[in-house]
Amino acid sequence: MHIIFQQADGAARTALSVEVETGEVNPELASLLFDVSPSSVSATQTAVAGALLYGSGSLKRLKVNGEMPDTAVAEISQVIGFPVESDSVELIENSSVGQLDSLLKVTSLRVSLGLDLARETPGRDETRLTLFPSERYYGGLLGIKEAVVASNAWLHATYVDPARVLAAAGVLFANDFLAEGLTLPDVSGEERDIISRLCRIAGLETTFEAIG
Amino acid sequence: MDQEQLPLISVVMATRNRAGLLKQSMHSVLNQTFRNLELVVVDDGSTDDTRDVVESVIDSRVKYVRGHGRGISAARNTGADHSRGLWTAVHDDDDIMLPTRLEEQLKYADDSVDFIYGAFINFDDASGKLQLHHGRNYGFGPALMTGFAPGHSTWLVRTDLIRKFRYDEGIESAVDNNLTFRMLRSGVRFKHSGVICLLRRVHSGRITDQGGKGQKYVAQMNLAFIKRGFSEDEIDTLSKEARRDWGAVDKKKWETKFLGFIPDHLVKRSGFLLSTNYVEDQLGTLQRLALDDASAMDWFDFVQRCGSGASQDNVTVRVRERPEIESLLQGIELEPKIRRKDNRTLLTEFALGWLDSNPEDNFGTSPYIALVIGESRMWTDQQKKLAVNRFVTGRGRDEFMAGIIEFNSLEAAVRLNAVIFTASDFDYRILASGGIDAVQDRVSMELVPGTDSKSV
Repeated sequence: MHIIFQQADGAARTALSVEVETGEVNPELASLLFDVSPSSVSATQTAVAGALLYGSGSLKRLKVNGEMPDTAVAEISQVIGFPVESDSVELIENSSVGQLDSLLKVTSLRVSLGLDLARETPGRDETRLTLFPSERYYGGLLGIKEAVVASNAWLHATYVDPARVLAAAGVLFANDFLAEGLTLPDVSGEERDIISRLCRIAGLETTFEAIG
Repeated sequence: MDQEQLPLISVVMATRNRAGLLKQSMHSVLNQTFRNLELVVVDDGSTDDTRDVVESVIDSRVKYVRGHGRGISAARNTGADHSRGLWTAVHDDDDIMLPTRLEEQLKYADDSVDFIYGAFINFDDASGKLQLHHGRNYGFGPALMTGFAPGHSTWLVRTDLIRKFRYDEGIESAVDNNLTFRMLRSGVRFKHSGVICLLRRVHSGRITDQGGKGQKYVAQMNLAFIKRGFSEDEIDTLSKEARRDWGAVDKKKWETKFLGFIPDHLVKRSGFLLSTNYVEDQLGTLQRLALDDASAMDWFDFVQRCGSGASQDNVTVRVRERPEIESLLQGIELEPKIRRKDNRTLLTEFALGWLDSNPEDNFGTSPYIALVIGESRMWTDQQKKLAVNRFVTGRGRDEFMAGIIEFNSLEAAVRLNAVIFTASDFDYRILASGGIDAVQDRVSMELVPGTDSKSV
C-alpha cells in the first residue's frame, strides 16, 4: 500500500491517500481529505498517519515518498507487523528530518469531530483541531491556537475507530500547533497501545479522554 | 433474519398519488433478470389507491412502507431505514427499469467502488419520442461544469452510505444532485457502468416539472457549494476535460434495442420471443426452446418473459401511428422479416449463437462437437440416444430438435455423420474448439482429403 500526502488532484483539497497493491483489499475510503493543508508534514508523519488510518486493514507493506530515519522505519514496522519502505532511509543521528525543534513543541493538541464552535479559546498549553464534515461545509476557520477544518474524517470514523482517524489527522497537523502531544477520545486497551506507540514515533505523546 | 436470507439489493421507490403508473413501474423491477432483491415502496402520504395497488402485487419481495407526507427526501430516507440490501437501487414510480439493469450493474460492484450509475432513455409518454442521456464519468469536472450529477434512477449505491449521508430533508428539489455533491466531497468512489438502466417517462406530472423556482434555487446553491475552493482557471480546465469524458455506453442500435419495453399505447410489437428452460428427460438435461408470438403479448407479459431470460432478438417493434392510420394498418400489417425464416433456420441461428457465446460449456473437454438439427419426427431412437440433446424445441412430434454430440477426433465426427445422419434430412455441422491457430493445426493433421465434413 502506497501512502501519499499531497494536494488532491482536481479536488481543491489536501489528501492522505492510498494506492493498493496486488493482493491487498481496498479500504472503504481511499483518501482522508482536508480543505486546509497543514504547513509541513514529514515522511515519518505521513507514514504514521497512514499506519493509523489504514493499518488495521489487509496491508502487506507500507510505502511512503520521502526520507525517513531508520529508527522510524523499524519502529512503525514493528507496531503494524509488516514492512515499511521510504525513498531513502536516514541514519539515527539525522532523525530531525522534517521535524521542528523539540524545544518549541509544547502544546497538547485536542482533535475531535464536531459541528460546534467553542466559546472559549483552548486552555494553557492546549490547542484544538475540530474537523467539520466536508459534506456540509467547505474550508476552514484558522485561529491562533485552534482551527476548524472541513474533512471527510467523519466518514472514516464510521469504518475505523474514531481515535485512529483523529490521531492520523492530529499527526498531520501537529507541526502547525507546535504540539508535543495529542488528546484523543478514549479507546480500548489494545488500540490505545497501538495508537500511542505510533504517535510516539512521530514525536507525540497521547492522552485519551472519555467523551462526555 | 439470517444473513444468507437478506437480499443483495434493495430497490427503493418513493411514491405519492401515482397509482396509475405504479404497477408498471413495480412490474419492471420485480421482473429483473437478477432476482435477489427486495422492492421497498415508500408511500409518502398518498390519497389515491396506491396502497391497494402495491398490495395487489403478490410477491414476497415487495415491502410497503407508509410514510408521512414529509416530502421526497424524507421518503427516500425512510426507504433507506427499511432497506436490508447491501446495495440500494434507486427507482422512480413512473419509470420502467430495463430487465438486465441490476444484473449488468452488479458486475461493477467490488471493493473499489461505492456508487455505480449509468445511462437512461427519456421517452415521451404522449409521442414515444426517445432521447438517450448517457452521462459523464463522474468527478469534480462534470460537477463544476454544469452541476451534473448521475441520473437518480440509475444509482446503485451502498446502502450504508445512503444511511450515513441521508437525503437533505430541508430541500425538496435537486435532492439527488445535493447528495452526490456531498458524497463527492467526501471521497465516495463513483463508477459509470455504461449500462442503459431505464426508460424515464416524460409526462406532465413529473416532480422535476413541479419544482418551479425552488428547483433552480437549490440547484444553484448546490453548484456554488461544489465550486468553493476552485479558481476560475481550475474550473475552466476541469470543465474542458469533462466535456469529452463520456461514460462508455454501448449506443449500438439503442433506439430500437429498448423500444419493446415502452408501454403498449405507444408501440406495437411483432415477431417472436425466444425462451429457454431446462428440463430433465430420459436423454439427460435438455434446454427446451419456445418461440412465442410477441404480437399476442401485452406489455406486462412481454416484460415478464424478458425478465425470465427470453431473447428479444427476433422481435420487431414500431411506434404506433395516429389512431386513424393505425386502424388502416390493421389487416395489412407488413409481414415481419422474422416470419420469413423457418423454425429450422431460427433454431440453427440460435444454437450457433449460443455455442459462440458459451463455447466452453458446450465443448466440455472434447476438441470437436457435432451440432445436429432436424424435425423431431425424423429422429430415430438411435439418433436421439446418440445426440445427447442440449437443445430441443417444444414437445410436439413435428417440432424441431437440436443435439450436440461430443467427439475426440474429427474422423469420428465425420464417420458418425456418414453412418447415421447423412441419409436423413438433418443439418449436421462439425465444430472445433480452440483458437484459430490450434484448430487449423489440428484440422490439417486430421482432415483426410475427400471426407465430407460440412463445416469445421
